[in-house]
Amino acid sequence: MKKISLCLVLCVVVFTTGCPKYKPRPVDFNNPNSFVSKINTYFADQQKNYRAAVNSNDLPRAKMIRNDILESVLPYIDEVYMDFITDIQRGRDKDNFVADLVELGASAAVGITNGERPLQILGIALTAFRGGRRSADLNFYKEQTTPILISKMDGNRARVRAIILTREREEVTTYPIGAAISDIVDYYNAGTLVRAFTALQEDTAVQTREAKDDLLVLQGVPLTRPSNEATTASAVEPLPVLRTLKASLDSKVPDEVAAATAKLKKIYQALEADPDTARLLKIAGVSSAEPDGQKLLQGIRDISRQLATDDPVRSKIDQAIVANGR
Amino acid sequence: MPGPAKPSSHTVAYGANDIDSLKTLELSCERDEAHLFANIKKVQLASADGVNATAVTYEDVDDFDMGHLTFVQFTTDVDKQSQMAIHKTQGETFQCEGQAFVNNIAVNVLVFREKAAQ
Repeated sequence: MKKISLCLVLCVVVFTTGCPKYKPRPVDFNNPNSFVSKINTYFADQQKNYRAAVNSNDLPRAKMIRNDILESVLPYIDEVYMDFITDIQRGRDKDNFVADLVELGASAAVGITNGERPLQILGIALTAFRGGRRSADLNFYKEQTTPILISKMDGNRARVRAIILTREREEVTTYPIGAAISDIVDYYNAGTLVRAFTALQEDTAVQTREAKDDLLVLQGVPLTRPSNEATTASAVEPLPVLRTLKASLDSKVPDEVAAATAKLKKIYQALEADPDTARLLKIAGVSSAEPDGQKLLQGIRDISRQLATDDPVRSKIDQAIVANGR
Repeated sequence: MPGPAKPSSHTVAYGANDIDSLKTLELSCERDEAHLFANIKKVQLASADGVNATAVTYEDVDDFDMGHLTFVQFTTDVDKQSQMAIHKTQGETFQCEGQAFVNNIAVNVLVFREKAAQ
């Protein structure tokens, strides 16, 4: 039964998401709905005049007709683009507003709910909702804000527009009508989200966020090496040992205090046996001869706090505590 | 009559290039809490002798309840509220809010301490 359910889930996922395409669909030159076909149809008469002018070697007239076609098409593309970015902004603002309300409502509910189980349910639901929201943001908008996407599309379009403006000065022999139509298509595509995402990937300046101006300025503070799982695990290992020793000393029960003090003396003796750690004890003015367990415990704190956190001597101190403090 | 002595604090700087993930920062802070017998108090962006770094301030404590930290990144205020609520449902205690360099990029972070094991 479980296997059937699993197969069913996998089939649903595959058929709803579809198989990936590995190449574009074949070009259909007779498709009347393609963008290029619509341009050609709309400017059929001008294109005929262009061909006639080229054939009769009236190249200045052909150039004029070509530029006329370009300048006639571009405003239509600008209008469509304006509608597109208005719809994106409005749509995304609305979605974000509703999603924010849901998150805020759930967060407020956590604050006023009693009981572990309801809190658990709320926590899981809120986590799932945030995960879904992040996934949508990542997959549909690559986690970019709408102003950044619009700015990138504006930039892409401006770049192509500049190319078109420059090339309009060229003669039809170097910039024929076909190349002009290709630039029109490029201008249209420059105002799409796909192109914006690609351009943002290449734009490394956008990837690196500058640090805020109000940096804390540190002088004479060396950088500390980062830690890893193993180093952190061995650093925290003495903590439960020391916690137990402290609890025993704080209990004021004579036997417990004596046992804890004895263990602390053993730790100190281990540290005194190593020249590196013995030096530290001397500087701190503490030794295994100290009868007061609380002072011995404080001595460990004092020594530890004087060392750089990534000082290799620390591992010796940690090992001495773990080996002798239990 | 003088009041109680202010606990000592330590500032540790982690290079912006050295912290490759929030998990690395979390492990580093857990290590340093244990070594300093202190609790994390502040996380902020810094410049250490001209190099970008994350400055973490720890304050000495008398107990040995350190470690078990959780660092999470947040983007907006709504995101922050959601994270606070989620971690509250998990029994974690909020420690501080600040900014850190992760892979040389400044990010907003929240720091929580996990519920102590029973």
